[in-house]
Amino acid sequence: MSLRFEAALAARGFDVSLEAAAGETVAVLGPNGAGKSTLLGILAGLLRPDSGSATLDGDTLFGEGEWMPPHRRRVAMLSQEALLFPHLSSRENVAFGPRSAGRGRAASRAAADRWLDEVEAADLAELRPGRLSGGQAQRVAIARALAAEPRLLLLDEPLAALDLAVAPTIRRMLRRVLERRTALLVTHEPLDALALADRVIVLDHGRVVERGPTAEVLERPQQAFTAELAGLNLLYGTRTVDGLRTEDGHELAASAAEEIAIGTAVAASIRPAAIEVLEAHGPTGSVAGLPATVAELEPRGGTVRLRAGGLFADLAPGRIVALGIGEGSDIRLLPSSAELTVYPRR
Amino acid sequence: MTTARPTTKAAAILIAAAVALSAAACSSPAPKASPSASADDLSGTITVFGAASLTATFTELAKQFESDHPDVTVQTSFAGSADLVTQLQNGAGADLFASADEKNMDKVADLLDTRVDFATNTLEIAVPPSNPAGVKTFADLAKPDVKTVVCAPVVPCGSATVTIEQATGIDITPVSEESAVTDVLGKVSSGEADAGLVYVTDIKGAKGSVKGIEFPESSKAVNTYPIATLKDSANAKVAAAFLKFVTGTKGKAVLSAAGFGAP
Amino acid sequence: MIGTPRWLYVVAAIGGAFVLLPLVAMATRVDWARFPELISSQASLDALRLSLTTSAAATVLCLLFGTPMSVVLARSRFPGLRVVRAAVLLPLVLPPVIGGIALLSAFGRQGLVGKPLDAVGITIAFSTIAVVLAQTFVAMPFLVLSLEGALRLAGTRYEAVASTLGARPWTVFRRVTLPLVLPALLSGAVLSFARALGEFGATITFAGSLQGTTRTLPLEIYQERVVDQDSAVALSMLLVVVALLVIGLTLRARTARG
Repeated sequence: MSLRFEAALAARGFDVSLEAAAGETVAVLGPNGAGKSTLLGILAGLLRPDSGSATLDGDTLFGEGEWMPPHRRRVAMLSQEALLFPHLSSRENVAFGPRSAGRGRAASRAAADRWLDEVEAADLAELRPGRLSGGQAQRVAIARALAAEPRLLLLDEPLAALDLAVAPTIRRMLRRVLERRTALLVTHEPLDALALADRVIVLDHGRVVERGPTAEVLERPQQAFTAELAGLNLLYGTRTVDGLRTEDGHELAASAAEEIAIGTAVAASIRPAAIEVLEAHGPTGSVAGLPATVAELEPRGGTVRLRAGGLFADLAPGRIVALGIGEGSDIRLLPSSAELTVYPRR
Repeated sequence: MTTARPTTKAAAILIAAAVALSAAACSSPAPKASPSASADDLSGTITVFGAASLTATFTELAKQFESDHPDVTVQTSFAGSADLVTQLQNGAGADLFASADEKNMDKVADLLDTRVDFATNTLEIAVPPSNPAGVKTFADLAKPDVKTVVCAPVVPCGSATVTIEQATGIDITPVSEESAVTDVLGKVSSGEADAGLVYVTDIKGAKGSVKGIEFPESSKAVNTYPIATLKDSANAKVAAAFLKFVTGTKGKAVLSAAGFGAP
Repeated sequence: MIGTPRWLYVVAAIGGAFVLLPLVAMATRVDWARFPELISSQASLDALRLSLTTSAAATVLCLLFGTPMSVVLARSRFPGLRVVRAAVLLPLVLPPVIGGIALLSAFGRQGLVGKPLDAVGITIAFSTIAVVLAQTFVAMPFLVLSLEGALRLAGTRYEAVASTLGARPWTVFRRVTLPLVLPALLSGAVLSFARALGEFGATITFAGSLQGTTRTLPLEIYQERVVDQDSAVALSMLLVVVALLVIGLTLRARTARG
């Protein structure tokens, strides 16, 4: 393992341990205040934990009475705000890392130009940060972080402050840049995690709630919290022949990616858009699906998010009208059997 | 906070009373008979400008004059003679001017009415009570390791110093030239300087904070102190009376007690 | 300007006139025909040279010691910080003569530090060093005030980034902290210089007054005004011009930086 980390900081209710292999990108997901910035701060050396230890490529970052100051850790950080030094040009900003490492002016400038090329910002070399747009500044900031040749790259929601139009370009760039780097990517956006990370850990109130490979965690979450972050519905139950039996005793048809023995405790996830909303009592007297009472109807752009029985369903406004339902109405929720995926509960 | 109204009323009464009192004080009170009063048609306020070295004596003289003449107030202002000259030249209102030397008095000759010499003063060496530099003579002041402070030449005690230097051929290299003799005294009494040249009267008035060393060469520079009434005086009568007082027996007694010589 | 009441301008004009009137009045008093002659006496030139060199030295001292002080005051936390800050800024409100007395208590020949020094032959009182010390004492708060405020405003985020990029603390200070507060540093230095140039009370109390050694321009003017008013006024004008030059040049340098 390239990075081993465990630390506790009582003042922030923080107690986290994690590992990252060399070249691996680990996404750290969680809502605001979950401890993501604390984690990065401790790793970078900007915060001191109460206890714990961490090693990076065999070097002790902190622990057992030792503490390596930030400038020797070779842990570079990239924030939401580019934080480019306002009094230096882009090139001088990018050359800052190499210069601080002791390389000569010429060599540092050459390195800076190379990295600016890499992030497609060569034309911005002479400009001062004040003249750069958000996306341009972020690109230069990425080049600057990489030019310092860090062993660990920490990214703190790097796309959060960018325009929606610009974000995809930066995301692509990050994908390229992170290919063989050990990195921690803090985000509250599951899309970023899916695009950029090999593994995911989920933080809540300073503790790790769930961890695993990205696809697995974000498509087949084990915790309700994680499911919510990933934008999925989560059901618990036991395996049946056709699908699962929920904890309330309702039978649902579902698919499975693997062989699961009948009776095994399982979880099942499904997108809100894949849940059909039906009248409480069908015309044919069918009682398939889950009975529930509408708790809330939330218009979201072109769809309406319906909350009922602890689940979310996205439907077209026309469907609401056709069903003639409102808050408090009795309905049935019918998850699409093709999309409802069952997997073992851990 | 308690209710304002009774307090406001009381305040108003107090203010009115204060105004009435000050009005009464400002106006000339009716002359009262007093046992030791001489010519008691004297009343009003006079302002006396006095050289710094006259501070103690003239404050005492002013008090005595006021007790002799209860309807008179004597206001005094003490500073370096040269400073006072500048103030007078710029139109400061005074009734009398007592200078520490004739040179400064000459500068305002055109402003003067009656002028009389009333005292003399000579220089004396002042050293800290322990005399750390072991100063004994005037020549000792010129020694390189003795830190001497003198008055600047533009000030009367400074010009006296220069006169003595020229007469004796001994050149003191002072570490500082002060603009007022009181500053010289201060530096010596605090121990900053090893020695200073001040007036005989300053040593007497220092009451032990400095030790005085007389030196024979001091007779080469005798400062004659003139006093004069000013033409623009608002109260010529009282001014003339004060001048007479200073040059009279009582005045002479106070001055000689302080160490001044006869004019 | 929108949103600014008209009477504000009137009050501002009155305030401005109040400050400018004495200067203008003094300028009319100057005997301009004799100006070159009045300011070129040996005593005047000595005083001018002394003023410029001591003020420059004092400004350098203020920068050397005031900058670290500002950093500590702006960025650290320890019990008693507030008291320390108040003490550092005290010379701003203290009458300079009291500053002189305080300096005497410390560095005079009978002073806490001065006495042992005098015993080994080092006397600070009555020397040019004393002038520089007096000026530094009164001018330091101007630099600290200006710089500490700017440091607080700038925050520490850029320093944090610089550290993670591998810059050692001294490199961070040199390449990030200082450049970011350079305008405040410059204006603080200018104010310090101007204050040092005009320093009188502490100098005359602590350093004394001797031509060529301790009689700076303000002290020379103080003495001259008694003998030769024309000379005093001319020298005063000279001091005003020098001060204006310094302030003007530095403002130009600041705006040039952008």
